[in-house]
Order: sequence, then C-alpha cells, then structure tokens
Amino acid sequence: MYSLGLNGSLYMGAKSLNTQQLAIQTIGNNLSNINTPGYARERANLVESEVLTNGEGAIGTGSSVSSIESVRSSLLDGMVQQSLGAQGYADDQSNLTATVQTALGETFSSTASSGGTASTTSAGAIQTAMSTFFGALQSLAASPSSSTARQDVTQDASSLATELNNAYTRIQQVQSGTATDASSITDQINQLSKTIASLNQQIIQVQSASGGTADSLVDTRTADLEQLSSLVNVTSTTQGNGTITVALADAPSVTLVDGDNGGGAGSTQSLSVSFNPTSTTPLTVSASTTGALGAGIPSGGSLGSHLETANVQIGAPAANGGTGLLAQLDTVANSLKSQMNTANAAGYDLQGNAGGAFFTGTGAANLAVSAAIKANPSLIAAAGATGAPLDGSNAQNMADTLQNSSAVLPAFQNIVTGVANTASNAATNQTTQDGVTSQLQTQRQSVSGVSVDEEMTNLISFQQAYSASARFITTISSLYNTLVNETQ
Amino acid sequence: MRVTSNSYTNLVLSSSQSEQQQLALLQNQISTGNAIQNPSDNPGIYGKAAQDQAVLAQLNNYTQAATTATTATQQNNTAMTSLHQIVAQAGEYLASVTSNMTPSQMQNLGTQMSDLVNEMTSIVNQKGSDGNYLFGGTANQAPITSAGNYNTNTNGTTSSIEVEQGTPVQTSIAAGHAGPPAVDGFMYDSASGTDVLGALKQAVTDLNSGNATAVMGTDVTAVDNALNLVSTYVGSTAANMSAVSLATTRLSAQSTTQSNTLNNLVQTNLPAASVQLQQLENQYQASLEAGTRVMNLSILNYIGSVTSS
Repeated sequence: MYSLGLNGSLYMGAKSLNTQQLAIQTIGNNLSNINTPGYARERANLVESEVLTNGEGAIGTGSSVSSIESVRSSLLDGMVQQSLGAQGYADDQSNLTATVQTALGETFSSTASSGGTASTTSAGAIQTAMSTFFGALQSLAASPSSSTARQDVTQDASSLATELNNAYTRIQQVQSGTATDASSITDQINQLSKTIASLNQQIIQVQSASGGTADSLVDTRTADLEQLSSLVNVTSTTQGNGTITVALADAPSVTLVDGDNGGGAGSTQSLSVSFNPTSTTPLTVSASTTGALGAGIPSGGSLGSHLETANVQIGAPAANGGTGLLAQLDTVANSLKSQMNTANAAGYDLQGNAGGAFFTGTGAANLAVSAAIKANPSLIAAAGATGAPLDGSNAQNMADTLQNSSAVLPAFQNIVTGVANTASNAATNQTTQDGVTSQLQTQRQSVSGVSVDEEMTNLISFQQAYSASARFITTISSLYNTLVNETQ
Repeated sequence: MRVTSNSYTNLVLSSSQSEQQQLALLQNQISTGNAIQNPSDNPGIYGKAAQDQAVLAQLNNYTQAATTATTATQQNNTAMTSLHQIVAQAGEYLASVTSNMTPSQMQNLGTQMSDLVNEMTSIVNQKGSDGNYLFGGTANQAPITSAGNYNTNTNGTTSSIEVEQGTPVQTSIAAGHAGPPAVDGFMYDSASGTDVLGALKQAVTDLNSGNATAVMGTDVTAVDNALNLVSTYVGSTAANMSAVSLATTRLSAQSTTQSNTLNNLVQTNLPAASVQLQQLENQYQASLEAGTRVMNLSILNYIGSVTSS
C-alpha cells in the first residue's frame, strides 16, 4: 500500500500547524476589530489538502487555508446604506423643523398664581400681542378721548409689529444658517468622494499585487459610502474590478465617484450650494459640470433635508413668490395692515379729520405703526363721525374687524399648527427611521459582527488542533528516532 | 438570528437612549408644569389650546370693557336718580302753592326752586373722571350754558360698549335740548314737547312774579311731564346697569370655565406624571440591570475561572 512516508507525515504536520496558526490569527484580527466601525468579521476557510489515491483507497495529505474572506451580506449592506440616507434626512428634518418652530417663538407657558393653587396659561408672543392689541382697541372704544387708551393702542400695535418683525428675522436667520450648513455638507460630500476614489485605487492595487481581496479597504470604503449616503442620497454600482461608481440618486448623470476619480476629478463632479433669500428657490445645489440641479434635488440625506427646510418650509418672501413660512407671515402681516388701515380710514381722529394709514410696511419684515400715529396717537380714527371726540364706534369697529377676521389671528394660528405638524411628523419619522436603521444594523451585525464567545470557542478549538498537530510531529519525530537508532 | 457581542451593547445603548428621552420629557413636564410647551408636542391639542387661549383673551378684553361699562352705567343711573329727586322736589314745591299765598311766600318758593335749577345744572353738566362732559353727547360740551340755557352745540349721540360678542350696552345718555334743531334726551323730548329745564325755569319765573294761577296750572303739568321723562331714564339706566352686571357675571363664569379647560389641556397632570415617572425609573433600572448582567456573560469568565481553579 502506498503511504506518505515519515517525511510526508512531518510535512503534513507542519502544514497543519500553519493552518491552525492562520485560523488563530484570523480570530485575533476579529477580536481586535470587534468595535471597528464598518468591520466585517473574517473567516479562514479550511479545506482538506490533496488526497492521494491508489487501488486500495484514498489517503489525505492534511489541511490548508484556501482563503480568508469577510462575511458580508451585500443585500444588507445596500439596505443599510439606503436606510442611512433616509436616516440622515430624518435626523436633520427633526432638528431643523424644531429650530424653525423655536424661531417662530410660539410656546405655551404657565405662571403660578398666588398661593400656588392655580396657574395661568399663556400662548406665544405673537398671539398674545394680537389679543392685547385687540383689547386695547376695545378699551379705546370705551374711552375714545383718553390719551392713555390711545397711547396703549399705539404701543400694543408697535409691540405686535415688533414681534412679527423679530419672528421673521429669526426665521430668516435659520434659513441662512441652513444654507451655511448645506455648504459645509457639500464640502464633506466632495471630500468623501475623493476618499472613496482613493480607496478604489488602493483596492485595485492590492488586488492586482496579491491576487486576493482587500477586505480591510473594502470595509473602510463601505463605512465611507455609508457616511456619504447619510449626507446625500446616492446610488453605488460595483464594477468588475472591485471599484464602485457613485452617483446622485435623483440625478444619475451627476457622478461623484468613478474608479479612482472623485470630487470633481476626471469625469466626476463636485457639488456646491448657492443661497439667494429673495429667489423663489433660495437654496440650490449645483454640480461642477451639470450646473444648477433642479428644485428639490437632491431629495435625500442631510443635504436634501436642508433644501426642504430652506426652500419649502421657510421659502421665499411673499413678494418673491414664496409659499413657505416667510410668505405666510407676510400674508398675515399684510392682512393685519390692510384691514386696520381700511378701518382707520373709515373713521375720524380726535381733531375730526378722516383717518389715515395706521400700519406701514410691505410685509412681516418691516410692518410698523405709521410714524405720524406713533408721534401723535390722537390721529387714531376712533370716532365714526366728525366732530365727535367721545365717539368710539370706529375703534369698536376696528376691534371687531380684526377679532373676527379669519385672515389675522386664526391665520397665524394655522401657521403655528402647520409648523407644529411638520415638526411633530419629522420627530415621528426620525423615531421610525431610527428603528428601521437600528434593526437593519442589528441584522447586518448578526451576519458580519464579531462574537467574543464564538471567537473564543474557535480559538480553543484551533489551539487544541495546533497542540494535537504538534504532538503528531513529536510522534513522527519519535518514529524517526526509532527507525534511525534501532536499525543501527 | 445570530447574536454578537456588540448586539448587547447596541441594545443597551438604544434602550437607554429611548428611556432617557422619555425621562427628560417627563422631568420637563413636571418641572415646568406644562404637558405641552412647543406646538409640536401635540399639534392637535395645541391647535385647540391656542383657540381657547384666544377666546380667553377675548373674554378678558370684554371683562375690562364691562368694568368700564359698569362705572359709566352707575354714573348715569346715579345722575338720573338725583335728577329725579330734584324734579320730584320741584313738583312738591309747586303742589304746595295755593291761591291765597302771599307774594313773599311765593318768592321764597321761587328762590328754593331756583336752587333746584342750579343743582340740576350741576348734575347735567357733570364731568367724568376723564374730564369729559357726561351728558353732552359725543361733542364733549356742557349741556347747559353758564347763562342757564341749553347749549345747542351738544348732540344726542350716545355711546355703547360691547361687553359680550355682539352685545353692546348703552353707556352714555344725552341731555338733549330744545334746539333749534331739537335734540331728544333726558332734558327734552320733542314728541311730547317735554322740557325739563324749561319747566323748572318757567316755574321760578311764575313763582317770583306771584302768578299762582300759572303755577298751579301749566307749571305743575309741565313739571309732572318732566318727572315722567326723567323717570323713564332712571328706568333705562337701571336696565343698562343690570345688563352690564349680568354680562359681568356671565363673563366671569365663562372665563373660569375657559381657563380651566385651557389649563386641563396644556398643564401637566402631576399625579399621573409622577406615577409615570416612577414606572419609567423602574423600567430604566431594570433595563440597565439586565444589560449589565448580560454584557458580563462571556465564555472568557469561564476560561478565567477554569484556569484559576
């Protein structure tokens, strides 16, 4: 019968030691990278070595490591990548809409009354200012010749105008802050595109040099691609040479990474943003070759969220054709101005002259009480007839008109409720998306994650196999000794 | 599903984050006393609460208007009651005149009657706390001139204050005058030709001239008519006063109800929140306890214990 012989057996034992050692090294690498983001556990694939056969049967020649591979699920990788894009959008929407709501300044507060047994609830600044102004007009109707009542109307109207001015300014600041953030995001996108392109290049080099796979580089690239996906919704395609091509999901012709080119090099494009608060679409994203992308592109990731907030939720002023929050505030301010001015013009002031404009301005940004009335509140046309200083019927008409107008207080309440719904939905969406991403990451972790118990068990197993192989070599060595010494 | 070492860590982190968010929310609700602070906390409730808040503010405005209206209607009623007493007194003076009174006795009555006219002028020309004439209409002028005649520059326009939605209450009354053109008020009524000032002044003239026949005839009738006219205003001002009082009571009740509704909507239910806080505390502690126990479990511990033994 054919056998390996003592030399062959020794060689088989040495090969086994090498195999177990490689497997133990793989375990060591897994344990070392247990907390490394993007790392996928590696597995040493052991195979039986060549089998020698003759007429009496087959005899093995030991074992070897055929490959060391990363345990990955491309399906789960893709789903996590997409989910992170949605997550980036949801996270930023939640934060940005909450910021917009804060800027609007309408929050409830409670003040404990004496004794602490009851408390008074008050609404936000603008709503309170509106109610106070309506009340002042009503008081003027009861005391039309009172200089105090006239002063109150002027001051309360000024306070209301100032609150609207301030809210408008705060929201504009949020919008410009969003544009600044978006610029920073495009910088990150361009940088990540370059990094991914560089990794593509390194992967090609490693693979062509060793003929194997560059798992650790792929892990790093996967982590970077996921980070890119959370910034902007992209699609990635793996090429035959192991590189990936990355393009905007909403504009496939805009390639961010192509082979070893990225961030504007070669055929790829870099992104930038431009901000013009008076444009119908204040915040736009441009690609270096394609130019300005369409409204709402990109639609996902942090960048998409910033576009949504700047262009849709806040938008342009009414005068510039906007329909967002700024335009809605303009509409309320202009309704307040036109109704109050019409009502004031219908009456007569304390001197018996017909009333003039009460409010001035072109929108919420610059609404103000007319300088003439501010300087001389007797010009408020409280009377319904000339020469009747004790007639407050027109002041009552003003109070009734504003109080019953759906275009003033209820319209403003609708704005606040609209912002509230957007912020609430964004928070809910964020929670949902958190759950989805977390679940997908858990699923991926179950495939690619490192388990200490599993690795330790394998370690013991390979350690024992190593010991056994070493014993096998000792035995063969002993056989050698016997053969050499006993035959002398 | 395969469970890895980081699965435990991730689970502890995510559940801890979720529970801490709930704890922070609850802590905020308890410390501020408001279940809803930002509109997005509950847009539906916020919308309702904002409307309630606006209604409450409107009720407060009406309550302030009612306070002003109360003062005005009380002033009017007090003035009309005093005027009624003066005219009634004048009627009593005239009723005491007989045909066999001496001219001196008649002149004495004329002097007393003249004092009543002065008192009446003082009442009709009185000003409010804001310095405006109460009964000159909207013209802000004294209804009776220093010469004792009607001031024809006054008007009969009265004011009203809205004390409830769509419910104005008349808060001023006009004295009126004989004109020309005549203006109706509590001193003059063109329909009946009643002239309060004219009646009393004519009686003074007739008493001073000793014209007992005129006094007992036309003067008594004229003063009676004047008394009737003033009585009408006593009644109407009392009715206005009563209307304001009723409105004030209703406003107070509505404000209380509205305020309670708003507070119930917006404010934290402290007992419920405290119980919820306790539950969350327990849940959080249990979660940390379970996480700590599970994360410590590893084959490494057994290897360690086997090696040491």
